Amino acid sequence: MSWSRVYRHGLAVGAADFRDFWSLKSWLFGWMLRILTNAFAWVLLGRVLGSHDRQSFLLVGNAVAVGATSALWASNACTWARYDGTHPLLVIAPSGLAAATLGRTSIWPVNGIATSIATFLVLTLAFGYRLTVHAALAAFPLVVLVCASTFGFALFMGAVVGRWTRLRNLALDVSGTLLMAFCGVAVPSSFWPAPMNAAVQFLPLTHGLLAIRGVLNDAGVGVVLRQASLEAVVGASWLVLALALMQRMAERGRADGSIELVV
Amino acid sequence: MAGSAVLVRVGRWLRVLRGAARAQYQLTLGNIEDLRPIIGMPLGALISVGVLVHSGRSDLASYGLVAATLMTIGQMGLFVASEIVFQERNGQTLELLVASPTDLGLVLGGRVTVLTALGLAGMVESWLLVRLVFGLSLAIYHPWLLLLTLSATSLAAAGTAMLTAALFSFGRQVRTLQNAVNGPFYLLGGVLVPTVFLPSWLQTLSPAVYFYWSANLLRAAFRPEAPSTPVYGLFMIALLAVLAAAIGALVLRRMIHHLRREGTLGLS
Repeated sequence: MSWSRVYRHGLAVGAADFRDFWSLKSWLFGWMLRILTNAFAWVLLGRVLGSHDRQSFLLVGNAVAVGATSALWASNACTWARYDGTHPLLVIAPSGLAAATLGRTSIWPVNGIATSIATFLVLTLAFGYRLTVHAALAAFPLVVLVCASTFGFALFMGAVVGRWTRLRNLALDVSGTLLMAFCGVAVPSSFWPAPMNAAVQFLPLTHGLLAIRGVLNDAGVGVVLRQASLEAVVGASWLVLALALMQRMAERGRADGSIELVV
Repeated sequence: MAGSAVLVRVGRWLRVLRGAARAQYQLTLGNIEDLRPIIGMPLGALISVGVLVHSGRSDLASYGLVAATLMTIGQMGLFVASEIVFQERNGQTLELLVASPTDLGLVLGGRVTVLTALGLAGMVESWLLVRLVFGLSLAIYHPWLLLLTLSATSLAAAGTAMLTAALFSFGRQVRTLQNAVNGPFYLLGGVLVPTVFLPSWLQTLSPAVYFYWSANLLRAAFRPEAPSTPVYGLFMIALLAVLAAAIGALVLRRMIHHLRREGTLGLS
């Protein structure tokens, strides 16, 4: 089977996973309600500080971060084939593990994009944030970029937790919070000590968020393109690392008999 | 005679509570899923205290600490303790629990109490995190108020978990309900941002959420001035705890009765 066909079949499984988690009703009144109330609390913190700029900073940061943290779910989805008992079959299949895994997990960045856009819209209306149609149209592909690059990172994480699947949910919680803390969501990343600020330059969200802030604050095309390119490079690098690690784990699993192991 | 019968009965109850609590403690220590809130939620203080320090409002750092603490306790109640009945049903052990002569409500009570009490670790963790990362030693001006409020809050979370565990026991809408209740609870309770900053129509709902009283008292414990009406606040937390637990026990009994009558107790 061709790569794209395997990917499409994987995506169909991913869509089934998604429906297993959320229906339209539970997505709106469960998932989005939690995301939005959370985001409201953060933006209100800007009101406590009495600063309109802080409030806008928190609003944009959170609206983008909810997309990235939703895309992180892909790391969790990487491990599900092990629970389904299909992981060994995927490893020995002639078309390989990568296309099927990419397909199954890529539904989660899509959820990220939808979550981020919905959050942006509601927060903009609720807090009277000024957003021109022009800026919104320019920001949209950047939101897609952030979710895609976070997806690359999530796959890497998924390949790592594939060996210790019991830690998958914890890894999701902790990584999401750390991304929100250090990647410039609530405070600029330069607020943190230099080594931390240097480290987050290699993480998804950091540059993409700067690009989006650039678009919304009329920072100039050069700055936006630069940050967007960096985000794309970071995401692509994580994706390449993830695929390599996935392949290595699969080979090691075949070699040492841990291929069917779920711990 | 009647007095000693009551004593015997209370003794029996306590034995059940203690046994259930010990069993839950052992189960939790071996289950990383149960410990997720305790490990993950305190990290939220990095974000909230970060925002406050960055804006030059280190004096408000206790807001972030209180939020991380309450959300750790809240998650232990809403995400871990609330799933007990659902998990037992999934694991095909609910029938054994229901068939045993001990009261299910008591067993559940002992178990949820341990879980939400473990959530108290969130306070210590967040305090240490704030100290370590931001170099802020948040002074506790009213230690007794802090201790009493934390204990009452953990009991209120346990009481609420009795109710949610009963509601979630049918298992169909667990995830929707968990998510739907979680966010609004924290927002209405003013866990991070005091409720005065909410729209006034929302503020009227806040006193029905135990977090509202807990958050106000906990923040007051970190301020030098004397707290206003602490006894009333503690009373309200206790009242909401007892109410939720009582309704929870009632709902649980009705749910189990329904499942037994329909013959679906072991189905999941």
